[in-house]
Amino acid sequence: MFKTYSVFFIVFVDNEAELIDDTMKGILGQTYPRSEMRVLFMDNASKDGSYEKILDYIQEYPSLVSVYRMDRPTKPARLLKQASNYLRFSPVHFSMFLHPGDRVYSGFIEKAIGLMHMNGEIEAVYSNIDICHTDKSLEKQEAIFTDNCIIDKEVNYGLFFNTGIGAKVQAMFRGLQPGALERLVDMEKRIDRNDWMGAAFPSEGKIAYLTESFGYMMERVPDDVMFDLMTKAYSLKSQFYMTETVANYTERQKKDWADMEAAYKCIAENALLHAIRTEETGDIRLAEQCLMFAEMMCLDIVQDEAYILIKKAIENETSMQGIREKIVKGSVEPPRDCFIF
Amino acid sequence: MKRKPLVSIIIPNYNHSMYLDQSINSALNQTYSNIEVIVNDNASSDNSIAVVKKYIDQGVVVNKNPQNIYNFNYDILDDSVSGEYFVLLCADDILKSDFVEKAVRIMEEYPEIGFVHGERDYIDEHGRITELDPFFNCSFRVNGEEILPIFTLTDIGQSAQAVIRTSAFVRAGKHDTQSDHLNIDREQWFRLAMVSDYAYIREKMALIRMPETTSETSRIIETFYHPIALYHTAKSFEEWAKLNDYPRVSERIEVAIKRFAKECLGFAKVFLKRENYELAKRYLLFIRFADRGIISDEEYQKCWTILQEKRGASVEVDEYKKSSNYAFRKRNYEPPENYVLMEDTI
Repeated sequence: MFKTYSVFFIVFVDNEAELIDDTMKGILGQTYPRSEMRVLFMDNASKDGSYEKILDYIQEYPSLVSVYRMDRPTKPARLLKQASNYLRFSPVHFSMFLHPGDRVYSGFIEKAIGLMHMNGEIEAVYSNIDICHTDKSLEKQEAIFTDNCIIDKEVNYGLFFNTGIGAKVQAMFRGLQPGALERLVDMEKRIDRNDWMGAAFPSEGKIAYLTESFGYMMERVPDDVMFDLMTKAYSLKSQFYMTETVANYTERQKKDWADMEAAYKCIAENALLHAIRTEETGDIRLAEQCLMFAEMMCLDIVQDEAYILIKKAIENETSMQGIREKIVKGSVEPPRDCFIF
Repeated sequence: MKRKPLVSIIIPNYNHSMYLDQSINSALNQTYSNIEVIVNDNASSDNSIAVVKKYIDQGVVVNKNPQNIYNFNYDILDDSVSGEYFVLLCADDILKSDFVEKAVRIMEEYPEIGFVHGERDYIDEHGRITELDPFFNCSFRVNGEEILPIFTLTDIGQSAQAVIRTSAFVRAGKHDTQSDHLNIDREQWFRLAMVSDYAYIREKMALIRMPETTSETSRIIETFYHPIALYHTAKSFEEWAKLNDYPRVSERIEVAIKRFAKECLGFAKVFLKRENYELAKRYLLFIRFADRGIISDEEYQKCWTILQEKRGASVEVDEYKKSSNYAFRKRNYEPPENYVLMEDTI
């Protein structure tokens, strides 16, 4: 029968030829045995030489690298679905989804697989990462939690919306099963997989969080910030559709409702972070739209200090320095019911 | 003699046992002869299976999902299609007997046509029919790219109003289960028009169930899901347009969003009237978010003042629940540019 591979890296390429080397260096530098790893490039009909570069890698590392090229450009969720279809005869134990330019530091795979072998209930391992700016400088992110921990998502669902606002992470998933993949496709379309809040979906199972930075991702500012925010809002609205429409007062419902409100506040705070970023571009209109979006998703946010300060800064055309820290709080202790290691 | 191509009529069902007899009969009674009927039951808890069982002798097949899989059921439906053409007939809708025959005749004559829409009327839960104005003023066929921009604004038809060529459907990437479940048809028409041509029959070909009080509509509007999902759908079209270079679609998106924002003003008024100021505020913020220019609109300003002063009781407004409101909409639009009149084929 077909061989089951340990780790599949699925790299989505969309005209990013110059960034492919960086990602490949990270994969080639792993301490985990190369014979147990595979890389699948999903090329979204790139025209900038990405495909040719991938073919070069295949020639150099024929047993490591594979490729699927779309005949015409498509959207990320469809690309992911295509990847799942393509991999149906190549079962995998573990998988990672990357964009060109994302770098996985050398010990991550070994560490993550070790953890998942040790605890069969862990469905994914998340780690802190650095942010690589366009000038190639690296920015350290403060860890979301003070300690490495294992989180039971069902119990701590709201945690993903109450902590790590705007934080980016990288993840290794257990397997690439069809059922799980449907949910991943869902995430891909809606919540950026590098967003900590995205780790909330699917809502069952356990995840491990590592405070150490085990990689970096290229800083990605969406072309259309409002669409990006709206897409995430749409994701949350779909996710909480049942909670919002089924009214009863069981304890479970109360918890779901609180999680939902935390999620809407989280997306509103993400909008505030985008508003702050406009200071670099001077796009006042976008900043105002971000405020409007934030209020629309969470009416009470107008009373938050960060909201008030941003609004004032826009009106008076003054600096927004220091406001970000009012939203992005430092590392917090993991909840008491988490397993800390 | 050449055998007629097989047409699959797929009936997705969830707890619609009270309507199933009508939908199955309308599928079985098609004047077109080579038809298979497959009911896909999404784990109903009513007596749907007992209803379908009556038709097993007539070749109807029923597949019952082990559990309700919501939107992902579209993936299961997609796998059920084995005909060269198919119709997705919702379990509460009804087909006119000659729809498949007419649509297949058109697609057999014009292989580049990927889907054919027929017209509809609404039928409520008591069987009362509301006649609607046809969308276009004639029957026609047209290049897919010409009809694309129209789908950014409206769906023209629901799933029971279309006969689809399976090969075009596969080329278009089948259903998109990640779409908003209320816009999945429109999304589907859009992607079909990206890969194939389109035909429209200006005859009533289906009855679409539209209960007088639609709880689903109330829910999506009252939870503020509706504006976010529609905005998202419109922008998704823009995303496709950018990927495939359809400048005329991109131009339409802003118009579509503004038009929708204006429609939302009606919802805002309803919630002002109900003195649900929180929801009214969300709608008014959304409207301004979607259409910055609306701030100078007199009606919008009036609503905003009413919100500030919290005197919603004074608002004059029609409730949105009455589906019969649709009957008053005037349509009969001119088809898109470069269309070919098609009265003869039909």
